[in-house]
Amino acid sequence: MRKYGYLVVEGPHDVEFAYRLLSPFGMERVQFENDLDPFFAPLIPRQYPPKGDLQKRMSTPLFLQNETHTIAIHSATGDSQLVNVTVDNAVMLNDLQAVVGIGILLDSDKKFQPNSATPTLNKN
Amino acid sequence: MTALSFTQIEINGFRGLRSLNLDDLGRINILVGDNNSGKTSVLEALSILCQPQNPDEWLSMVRRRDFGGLDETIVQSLRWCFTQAAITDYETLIEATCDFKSYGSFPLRELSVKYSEFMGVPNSKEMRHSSRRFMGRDLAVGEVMRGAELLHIPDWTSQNFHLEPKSLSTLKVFEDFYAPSFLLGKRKLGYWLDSKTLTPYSYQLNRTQLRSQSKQLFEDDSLELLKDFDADVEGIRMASFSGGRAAIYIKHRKLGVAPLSVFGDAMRRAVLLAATLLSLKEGGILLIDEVEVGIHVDALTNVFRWLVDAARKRKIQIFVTTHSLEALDALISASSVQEEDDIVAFHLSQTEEKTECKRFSGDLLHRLRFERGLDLR
Repeated sequence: MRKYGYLVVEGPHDVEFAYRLLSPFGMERVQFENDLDPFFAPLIPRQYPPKGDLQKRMSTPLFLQNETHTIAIHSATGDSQLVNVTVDNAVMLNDLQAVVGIGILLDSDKKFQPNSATPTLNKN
Repeated sequence: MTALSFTQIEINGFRGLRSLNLDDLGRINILVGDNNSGKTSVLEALSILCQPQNPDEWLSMVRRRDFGGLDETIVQSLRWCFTQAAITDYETLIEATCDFKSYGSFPLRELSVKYSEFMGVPNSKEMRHSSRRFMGRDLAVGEVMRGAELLHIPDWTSQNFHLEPKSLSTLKVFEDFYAPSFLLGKRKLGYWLDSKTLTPYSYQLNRTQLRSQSKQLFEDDSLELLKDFDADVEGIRMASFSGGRAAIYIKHRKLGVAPLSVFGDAMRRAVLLAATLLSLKEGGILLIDEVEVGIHVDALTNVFRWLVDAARKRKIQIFVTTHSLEALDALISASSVQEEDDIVAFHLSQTEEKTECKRFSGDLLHRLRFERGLDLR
C-alpha cells in the first residue's frame, strides 16, 4: 500500500509550484482515473457544473503518484477557503488514519504574510 | 429546534451492525453507504426501539424484508437478525444478544434483546394459536420442534412509565408458526413511540394501511403533493361503489373519478407516503427504505420539500435510506439555509472491527454536493 499525503494550497499557481518541488522525487501527474490509487477517488468531483456555473473550473485536485506515494494537491481558490477545503475533503476520505501527512501551503505576498495567517488557521 | 425523539442511538449485535453510533441526529436523517453496509438494518433497529415492550414487532420487521412471504421459517428469520451468532450450522441451537441505546425525548435509554433457541413441545394454548399446519400436515400433539424466544429488557429514564424499572416481555415462536406473545408477570403494554415503516414494496402490500390512513389526506394540503405527480389531479376521495369495499379514488381532469389502482406506482407511492406521514402522532418516527423508489427525478425536489415541511410542521422525525444521488440532492435542497441543521446524512461502512459511521451536517452537505460536486455515497 502506498503512503498518502494531502496538501491544500491557495491557487492554481501554487499547485504547479508544489508539483515542481515534488517531481524530483519521481512524483508524476495522474491523468486518468484508472491509474489513480482508489484511496483518493472520493475527492474526484462527480457533478458538473459546479453551482450551475458553466464557466467555472471543476475543483479537482492534482494527483501525484509514484510507486510508494500518492499525494493530492488541492487549490482552495483563495486563502479564506484553505481550512474549509482541507476539513471538508478530509471528511470524504475513508480512512484518515492512512494519510501520513496533511499540509496547508501559504504563499507570501505584500498584503498577506504567512505568519499573520497562522493564528487564524490554528483557530479553525 | 423542537426536541427530537431520538438525538443519538447506538446499536450493537443487531443483524450486521456492530458498535454503530449515530450521534447528533436531525429531523431528517439520510442513510447512505454501499450495499450491505447496514442502512436498512438501522431502520429495522429503530422500529424495534420504538416498541421496546412489544417483541411482536420483530415478526412485522422480518416480514417487511421478505415482501410479506417468507421463504425461510420464522425461526430462521429471527436467527439471522443476530448475524454474528447465526454464522454456524443450523443444527446448533444458538443464544445471542443485541443491545440498543437511545437518547432524546423518548425516555427509553437502553434496550437489551436476548435471543435463545430451544427444542420443545408447544403447549395446548400455543397449539391452538398455531397459524397454520406444519409442513402441510396437521401438527401432532406432543411433537418436539425447534423454537426460539426473544426477551426484551428495556431500561427507562423514568419509572413513571413502569412500576418496575426493567419490565420484561417475551415473544416465543416455533419452527413453522408463532404463538401470540405473552408478557412475563403482570401484563403491560408499555410505552411506545408511534412509528411507521415504508419499504419499496409498501404501496403494493399495505392496502389496508393505505385505506385506513388516508382520511388525513382529505384534511390536508397533500393534494398539492399529488399534483406534482400528475398536474391533472383535482381531488382525492374515499368512496364505495355498489356497496363494495371503500377504496381510494382520484378525481382527474381527463379521467373523471378513477380508482387509485389505475394510476402508476408513483401516484400510489405518493398517496401512501403522504397518508403515512399524516397518520403519525407528534413526535412519531417515519422510516423510509429507498426513499426515491417510484418517484421521477423531476418530482423529487417538490416531493421531498413537502415531506420535510410536513415533518417539521407535525414534529415527525424521519429516517431514510437511499442509493440515489438525485434523491440526496433533492433532500438537501428541500432544506432552507436557515434550517439546514434539520438535515443530516450518515455514511455507513463495515470494517473488520465495527460499523463505521461518518456524519455530514446540513451545511457540509451543501458544500460537498453543490460546491465541490463530491459523491457522498
